[in-house]
Amino acid sequence: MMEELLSTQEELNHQSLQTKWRLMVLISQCALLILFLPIPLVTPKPIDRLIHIDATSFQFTPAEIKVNQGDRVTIEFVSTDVVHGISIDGYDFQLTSDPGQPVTGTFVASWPGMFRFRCSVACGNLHPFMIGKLWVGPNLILIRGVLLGILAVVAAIFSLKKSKVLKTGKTS
Amino acid sequence: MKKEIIARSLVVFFIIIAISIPFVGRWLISRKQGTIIDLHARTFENGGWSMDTLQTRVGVPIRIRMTSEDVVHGFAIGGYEMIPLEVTPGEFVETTLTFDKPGEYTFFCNRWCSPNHTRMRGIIEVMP
Amino acid sequence: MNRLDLTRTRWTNFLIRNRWPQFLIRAITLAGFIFTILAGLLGSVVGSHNFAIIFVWIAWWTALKLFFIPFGGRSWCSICPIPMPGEWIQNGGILQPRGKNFGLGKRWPKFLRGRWLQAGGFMLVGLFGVITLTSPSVTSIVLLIILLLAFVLALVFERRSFCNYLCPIGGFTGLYAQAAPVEVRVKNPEICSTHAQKSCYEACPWGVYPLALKSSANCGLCMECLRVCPSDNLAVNLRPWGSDLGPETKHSLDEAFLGLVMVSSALMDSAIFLGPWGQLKMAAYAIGTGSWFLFAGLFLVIALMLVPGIYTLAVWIANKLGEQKMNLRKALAHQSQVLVPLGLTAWIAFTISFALAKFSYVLPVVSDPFGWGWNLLGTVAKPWVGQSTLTSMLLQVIVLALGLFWSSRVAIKISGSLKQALPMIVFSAMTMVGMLWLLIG
Repeated sequence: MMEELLSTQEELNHQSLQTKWRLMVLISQCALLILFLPIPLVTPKPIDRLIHIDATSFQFTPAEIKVNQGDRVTIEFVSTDVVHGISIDGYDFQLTSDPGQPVTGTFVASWPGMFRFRCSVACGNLHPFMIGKLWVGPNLILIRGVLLGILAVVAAIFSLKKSKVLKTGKTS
Repeated sequence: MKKEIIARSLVVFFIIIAISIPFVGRWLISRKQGTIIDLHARTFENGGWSMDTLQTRVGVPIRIRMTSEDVVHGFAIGGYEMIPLEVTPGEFVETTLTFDKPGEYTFFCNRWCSPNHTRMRGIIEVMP
Repeated sequence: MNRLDLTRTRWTNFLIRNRWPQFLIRAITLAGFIFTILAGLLGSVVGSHNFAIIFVWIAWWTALKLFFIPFGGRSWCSICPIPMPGEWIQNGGILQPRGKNFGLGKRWPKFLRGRWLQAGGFMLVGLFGVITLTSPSVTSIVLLIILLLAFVLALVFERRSFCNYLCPIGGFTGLYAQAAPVEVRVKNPEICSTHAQKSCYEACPWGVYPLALKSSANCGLCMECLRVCPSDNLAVNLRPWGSDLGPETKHSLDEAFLGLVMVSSALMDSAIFLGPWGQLKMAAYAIGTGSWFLFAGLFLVIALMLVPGIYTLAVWIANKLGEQKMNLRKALAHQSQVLVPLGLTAWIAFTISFALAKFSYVLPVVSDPFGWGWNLLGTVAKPWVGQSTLTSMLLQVIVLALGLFWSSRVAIKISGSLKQALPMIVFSAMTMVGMLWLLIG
């Protein structure tokens, strides 16, 4: 009798372990889907853009730029106080401007997402934190991040659903 | 107890090494460098050039090693033909100057560096 | 119990029990600490070319958050050099257990106990963070003050009072050590009950009695108890992450405060250092001016009122939804466990953006620690401008999602029901979305 009970208990444990594994596999599959599933987006027709950026220690103006994917972006960059530079993370784009002397450069915004741009010429103590943001198209990774967060909460709830913790919680 | 003594000596030894690196290093370099002049560039508001006057004689080369402490500066001399140097924060740039004629030459920053940029200057006295 | 006792394997046991390995590392970190102070004071004023800035704020600060804490809890404390000079005097030696007790040996005043001062210290670091992070001499002066303060306090108070009650990093590591996979615990409590001497407690520089140790927050992993135990009754366990968090563990109000300060600091630092708002950076830098006071006011409102206010509201709702009502004070302390995985992962995500982009500065300053144009090891190279790439953003998304998963699980575990856990899950989700928006939004 006792043995029988034990063996059914074991079987139950085994079963719950199996469902737990299945759940984990399912959740990680969902996570991968959320992170990497390509989302077909209708990108507006690429246009040429001219953007003027002022650099003053330690601020770009404007520091927040939005363009569409595929746009040809020409940046007119001018420093207003000391020598500043601009380089965009992930793009091979760099300009240096002497105070009052505008320089221009062009790049094609072919990569979507959020990219920080930074001052590339040491310009004083806060130089490492002289940062601006460029958005190319909608910021998909942020949306994916939020969805992954929702999945994380759901996963947390399901991973504890059948555990003792909640059951004892409910009876008490 | 013997172990304790070894441990203490080790601690003291490591600390001595740590302290001696900057001092010994600086001393060694100053011996090797000899006559090189260290010139630090700062905006006028932060003190300007670290030396206001440099002295030399006609025909005697003067070696200067420059670095900036804040923003990008430049180095040029009025009445002396040279390609202006770029003085970048944290980096070092070296130059050797030789003057043919005696007199007072003005060296100055040629990259706009602050509202008082034009006041960032110094003098090289060239004696006959 | 799914623990792996490291004292049962021969070579790990040797590394832990023998005094020399730890002593040698601490002797080197002490020399390195002094070297760092000198570099900041004597070296270049350009931060990116100064060993003090790069090693403290890029190398060490990153290693602490990405390596020492998540994999070793308070493992940094076990090799930290700061208490070493004071303990040399206190114990009359550096390679021996606590004993002689030179100095006044006073007990730390009761009203200053807990983690309040540590949290305050961490907030001060945040308030003056921009200048400390960019000025080598200020960094050095801060390090020097910490070293001297620890020394003086060791002469007046007993044991590691500085570490226990003042060190902001001690607060940081202690809080998150609860989530870390390492612990020192008694092997068999019955052996302790027959041993009247408490030699482990006498030897512990942290003032902890291992038998009573429930949480790793207060244990600095110095291994002294293990070395003096006559019965070999102490274990160093590898354990699952988050073992100190659960419905049974005890937590106090100061922990909640510390956890909230850490969460707010992670948010604030992300905004200041990685955001596109130049005005904010300049205000944080211009100490003493009107704009700085405005910044400080904003900082304090967020860290002391806004985030704690939302937290309190969440806890209050959770308490209402529960079947067993706790008083609010107790509930605030109890729910603070949720802040542990939340804050830890927020800090890791922040660090990925902040430091990895600047890691190319580390090798050059090893060769030229003072920025004097040396090239000792030939590793001087022009560092590339830091970048945060798509990979690092993906990593941040994953870390933050894991953090939310983890803190939600903790919230459910410590609550009576799913319904009761919801307010804390919402609080965690809000923090995570905030971090996401600041880091990759």
